[in-house]
Amino acid sequence: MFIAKRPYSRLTILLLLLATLVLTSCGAPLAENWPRMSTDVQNFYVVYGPGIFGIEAESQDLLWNYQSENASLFFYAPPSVQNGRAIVGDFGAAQGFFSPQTIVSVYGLDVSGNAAEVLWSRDDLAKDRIVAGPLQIDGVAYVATSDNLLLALDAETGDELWRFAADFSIWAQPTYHEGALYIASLDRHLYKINAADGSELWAVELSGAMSAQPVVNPDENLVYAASYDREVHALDMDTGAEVWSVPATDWVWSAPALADGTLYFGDSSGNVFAVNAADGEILWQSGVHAMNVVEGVVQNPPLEIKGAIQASPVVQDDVVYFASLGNEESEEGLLVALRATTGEELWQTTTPAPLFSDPVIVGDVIVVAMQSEVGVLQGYDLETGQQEWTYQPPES
Amino acid sequence: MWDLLIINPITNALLWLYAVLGNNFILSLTVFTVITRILMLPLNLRQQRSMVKTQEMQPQIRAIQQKYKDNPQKMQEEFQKIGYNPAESLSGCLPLLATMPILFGLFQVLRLILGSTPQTLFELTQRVYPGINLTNLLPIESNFLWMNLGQPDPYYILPILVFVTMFVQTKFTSPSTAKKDDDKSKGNKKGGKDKQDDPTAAMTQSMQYTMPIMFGFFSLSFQAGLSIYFVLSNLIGIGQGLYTRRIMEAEKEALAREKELKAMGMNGDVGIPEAEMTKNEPVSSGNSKATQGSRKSRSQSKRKRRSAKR
Repeated sequence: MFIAKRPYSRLTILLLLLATLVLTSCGAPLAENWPRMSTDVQNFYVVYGPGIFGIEAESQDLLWNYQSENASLFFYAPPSVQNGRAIVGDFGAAQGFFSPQTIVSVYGLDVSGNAAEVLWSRDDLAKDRIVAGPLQIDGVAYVATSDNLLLALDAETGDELWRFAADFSIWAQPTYHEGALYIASLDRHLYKINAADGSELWAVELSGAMSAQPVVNPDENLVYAASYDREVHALDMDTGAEVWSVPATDWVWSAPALADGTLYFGDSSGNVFAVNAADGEILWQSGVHAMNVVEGVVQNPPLEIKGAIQASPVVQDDVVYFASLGNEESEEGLLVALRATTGEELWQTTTPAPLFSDPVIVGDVIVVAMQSEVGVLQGYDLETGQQEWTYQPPES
Repeated sequence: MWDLLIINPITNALLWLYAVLGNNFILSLTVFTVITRILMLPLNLRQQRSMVKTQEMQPQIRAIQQKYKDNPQKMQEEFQKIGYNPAESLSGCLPLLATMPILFGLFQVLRLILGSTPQTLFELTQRVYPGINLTNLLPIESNFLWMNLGQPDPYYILPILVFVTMFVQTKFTSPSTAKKDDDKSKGNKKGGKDKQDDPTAAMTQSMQYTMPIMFGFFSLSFQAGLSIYFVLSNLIGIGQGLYTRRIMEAEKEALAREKELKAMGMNGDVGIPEAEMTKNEPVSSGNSKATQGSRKSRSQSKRKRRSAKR
């Protein structure tokens, strides 16, 4: 026969195989997995891929590590460690082809020894990823989830004490102050809730979603909220009424740093700002596009922070440090040290990979986490910006 | 290139629709599906007509194949005479191939828009065109009924719907079904055997089952948003299939009427004889000329009948 049956069947099979291959590859997890960390000054606690690592800050010795049994399960939220107990939530993973529902778990780990032992784990609390690092206060763990919840758990047992539901995901760690929790949500609201029972004290809607942890300033009775609406807002801690707001040039992804009455923050266009924490007056600004923002404000034109700033700055000894995504083409990150009072550049150094996560200062070293084959953690000298050490966690 | 031509345009189209349609993602997905189906409509119609036409020509094709099985060159010539091009039978796969980039693109785009992670949001910000104000659009509402559109349906309802709608759609657009129906109506018991001998029908038959099973299966792990796209797309396909079948049946009836009239000696000079029509109308061109021909003959028939009455 001229037209055989088989070639068509083969074509069908070939098409189906092709579709299977492509669709399966489309389903692969995101390659981007930003390492993040928290610290209690003595140690770093790093989450990267399916692992959580406790690392001694001074020596960079591995103290303990916890590896998820499910290799496709990732951690993104840095753990909260207190009294030898780590509270952490995962990014969730589907349980297989026929059980595609994402299971998200919250864990209580005993990290007082050389190994991380699971005290408890709960997979019935959240249905969507945990992006925000948990917070432990007085034996209560506060865990924010992407399915709009703030959960209060007994840190010892994992028992749920109460839950608060926002209208959309909560990506920011809550901030605790005198029995109240301040929560910034992607639903554009900043909430103040009672930490004892989760009841809402006030809620204020801003004009942009928020992924930055609120910052409280009891001296001024203000709480600061950085938003995707290109502004940082200062709200009255008691009522939530907006006292002032200061414009940035782009989204402000991360929490401002508050030090000595000044608020420091960076935006997605790579501009950095220092404002008076009391009244929002811009003290100085630097960056590629900052020149057009406000006239009459001290400018620092020589500084060019290339790449978006998604991490919170850190301040120590009159120096403010910004981590940026750096040059997109070279795929290198950038770490910059500026004089806190003037914005004058002290040094800047490139890092092997873009910096998405908040840096931390331990001793005389500023530590940044990045997705790099050279080392997930890199320590730079605070004075000079010279690289001091690199650390690569053990593979699972 | 993939990002530039597929991902970014789909992303921005969905975001623009989301903004225009009152920040309702399911509505923007629906409109997007309708638009893509409309864009694909000429291709789908052409493919459907082509398949049906090929199916109708099977007796002639088989006869030629049988007669010239040892002389491929002559067979080709004979195929050309009846307006059949075997290579163009493969055009049946074209709509499927053409929709694949949209399918794969949408899979990635839904992960970007509804991904609900800082990584996906960051990536999204890099892809948004200047005219779209992402700040005003966030957060993008991802809940619809019991589902999070960015995650698989936990109750397996959508995979079942994908399977059912796709199965029904392939039934409606499949020429073998039409043929089978014809065979049944004519009491032709050889219908099944015909299909066995006919590779195109066999392929269509296998596609009727494998595609819905495959996509239903994949929908278990697809985002609910993508499964909804499938369901909507299939529903539109069903409507399109029904419409095309109705048109083609009407054309068939018209041809049959012409034959009857011709047999009665009333219309000896009107219309194009079927054999001549198939000879002159290449299959690959769909049925547009045939349609024109049949319309022409229908109008001529009407004129003739009117004059006969007078």
